[in-house]
Amino acid sequence: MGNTAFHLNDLSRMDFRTSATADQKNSELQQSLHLDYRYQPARIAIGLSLSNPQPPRVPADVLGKPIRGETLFGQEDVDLALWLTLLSQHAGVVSPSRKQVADLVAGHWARGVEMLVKASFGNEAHPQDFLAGYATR
Amino acid sequence: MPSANPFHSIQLDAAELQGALAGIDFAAADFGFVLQARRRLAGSGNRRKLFSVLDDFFSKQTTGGEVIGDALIKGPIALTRVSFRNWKVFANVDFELPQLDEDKPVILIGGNNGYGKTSFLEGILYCLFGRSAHTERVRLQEPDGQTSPAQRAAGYKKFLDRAFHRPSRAQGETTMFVRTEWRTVEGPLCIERRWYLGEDDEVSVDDEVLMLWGGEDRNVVEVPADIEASQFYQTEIERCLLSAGAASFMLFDAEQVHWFSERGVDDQVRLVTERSFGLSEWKEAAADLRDYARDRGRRIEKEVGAYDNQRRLLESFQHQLQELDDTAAELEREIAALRVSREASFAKIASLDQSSYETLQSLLERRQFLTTEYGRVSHEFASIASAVLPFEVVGKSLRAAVVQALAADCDKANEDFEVFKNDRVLQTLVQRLRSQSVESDGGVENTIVQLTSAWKKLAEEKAESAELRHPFLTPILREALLARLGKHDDDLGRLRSVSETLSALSTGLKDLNLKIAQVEARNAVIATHENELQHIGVRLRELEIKVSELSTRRSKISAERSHAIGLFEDDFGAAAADQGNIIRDALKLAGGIESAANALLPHCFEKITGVLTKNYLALSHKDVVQQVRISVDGRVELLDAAGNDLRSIEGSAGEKQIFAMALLAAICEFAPNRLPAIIDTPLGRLDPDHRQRLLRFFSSRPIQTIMLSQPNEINGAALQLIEDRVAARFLLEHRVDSRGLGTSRARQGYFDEVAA
Repeated sequence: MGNTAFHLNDLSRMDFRTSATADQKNSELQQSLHLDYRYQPARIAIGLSLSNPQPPRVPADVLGKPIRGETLFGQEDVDLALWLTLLSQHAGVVSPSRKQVADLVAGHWARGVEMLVKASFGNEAHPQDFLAGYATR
Repeated sequence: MPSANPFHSIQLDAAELQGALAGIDFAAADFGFVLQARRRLAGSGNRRKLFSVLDDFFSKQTTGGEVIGDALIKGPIALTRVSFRNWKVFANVDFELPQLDEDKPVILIGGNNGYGKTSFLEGILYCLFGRSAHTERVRLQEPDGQTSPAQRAAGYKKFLDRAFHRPSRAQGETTMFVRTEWRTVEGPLCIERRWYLGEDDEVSVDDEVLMLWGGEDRNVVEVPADIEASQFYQTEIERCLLSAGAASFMLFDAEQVHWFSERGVDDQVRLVTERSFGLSEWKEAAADLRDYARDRGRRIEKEVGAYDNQRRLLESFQHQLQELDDTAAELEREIAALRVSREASFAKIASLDQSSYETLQSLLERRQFLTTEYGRVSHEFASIASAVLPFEVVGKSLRAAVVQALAADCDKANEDFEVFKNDRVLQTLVQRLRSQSVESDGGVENTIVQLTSAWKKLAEEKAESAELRHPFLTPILREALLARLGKHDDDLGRLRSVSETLSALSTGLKDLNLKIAQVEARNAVIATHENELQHIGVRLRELEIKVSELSTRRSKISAERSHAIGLFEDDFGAAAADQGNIIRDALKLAGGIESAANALLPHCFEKITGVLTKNYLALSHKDVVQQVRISVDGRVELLDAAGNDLRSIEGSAGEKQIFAMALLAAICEFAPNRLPAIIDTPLGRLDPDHRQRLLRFFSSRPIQTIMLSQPNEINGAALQLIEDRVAARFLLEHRVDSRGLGTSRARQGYFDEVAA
């Protein structure tokens, strides 16, 4: 991929992965939070990780199951653009390369999963209330 | 009114009787009444009178009253005097007999044929029992009972007519009597029976008089109040002496013994036992009662048990109806209880199944809807949450930084300095300036130089400052992102709204599930009661079917009973109900009497067996028979020492007579009062050995024995054999007058003395 200029279309067509461990936890969160798809806890996890100003560490492996970009971030250009803007803004890069984007996503996904697991602990009985709680803070 | 004790003729003591009759429904007082009524009326030959008395008795217009319960006299009894007036060949004869001396028990009365030996015997018998004596003699001679009561009654009158001493009658005598005087342990007893000639010069049996005197002063025996004298006296004779049945055997003559011995031994034993113990009279009374029941029931069928059968059938119907009613009542009770349970279950269900309750179905449908809706909203929530929350959770600072960067990029993009990089625009502008200026105006070129310089500077300056923060965004996307972030709060509001909807649905589902659980619990209770109701319903149907079947059976049996009642009334008279009771009571009494007689018979057999064995062994010169045994059903066995029955060995006429004599002699001995034996020409057809044995036997017993003998019978060697046992001797003499009418007298002495 190299450092070639990145375009929104690339984001849409890319497959994103995180570590196998994080992916496993992502699936568990999908179950416990009563979410329908794997991308849903992944999105929230990435969002949570972005709340931490520190850059995430790239996971040691990226052997988790892939999620296509248009699935993970949405099919609309505005969705893709917003995610790419947030990732770029948080990373402090202006025109990230494909590699950078893939690493950023893998890192934020893995860190965010850990954060979400920790936050949701004890709220298994009312997962939707837990999620809705983020909207009322 | 007191009744005669029917047990007086039974030679068994009270304990034996009580044991034998235990468990038998036997109304002794009623039987006593019937027995006396028979003795009083049946002998007349007209049983209508007896039946009329029985009508009153069984319809309770008269009662049996108490039974005179005096005990039988025990101990030896002796005949002390016999007086005849106008009785057969005796015009006026008295026999003074000695008191019983057990060392000399024999009294000899000698006489030729026709001199009065049988008259003596018969006189005593008729004195004691009158009509009954005649009946017994006839019955004894015709045990099959071919002679009707009417014939027997006529025969008695005829006998008495012939018995009246003809010379005396010719002389105008109108009274005939026989008086016997006895010595019992209770003292002297004098019995006199008188007969009178009526105006028709024939004996009037209705005017027969029986008198009893007792005690040393010969006082007339006192008759208890409310009891007929002759009835009481007859009972007293049975109590003190013997029954009519026994008397017919105990006062026997050779002819009697002869024909009696011709019968089979079983028959002899049964006849003697039943008659001497009075059981035959019981059976005849029972037969009279059955005849009475049949007569009153106007039975068409001759079968004696038909009435009983029909009554039993009616009673069976009644019993069946009662059983059906009982069963039906039991079923109805169960049905009533089940109906109460059913009502209780209905009420319980009704109390649970209130109309305010929604049906389980509607609740389930509603839950289905809510569940679907919850699922849908849950998906919606997940979708919105995943779309909105990430941008919320990134935090305000990052969002703000992005917004600021985007705004800045927008500003930069709006400053369009690209035109300064276009030289053609500059040249066009320069040309336009020159064309509008005047030739004299030299200042335009200067302006063009300055403009061109500024243009070039702007082109260079803006090229350096055109770097955007997010250059990958087009201006439109930047605007869209800003708009999107600007309405982030709206997105959150939408998420909250969906979340609230979801919470409401969750609460609704919880409430609904609770309600469903309540309804299901209620339904379970209802199902339990419905199950009960189902069982109750099944059981009720079963019971109702049974009740219906019972009702059908009852109708059928009721109809059969009605039909049977109709037949019964046809057969037994219109007043079947009352008559039925009378008949039933008569038959019941008859049955009781028969049962009692049948129960007593084996005891009587047992009683007679020992004495019979002793007598037979003493009389028979064949020593092979060691024991006589009588089974409970009356079969006689003559057993040798090895226990073999010798019945099959046909005995001679003499041996048969010996058995009969042993049997008849036994009657005196098993009776508790050891009555005298009066034997007319006893030696008849016996061989010398048997004669000796018989004389020794009768003379050796401590019982008064009166032997009536012909000259060639007890005389000579035979007389010598018993001479030292003889207490008194009489000789009958006979004298015939000119008209050919004879009269006998008695004097002390005997043939040998005459001969001497």
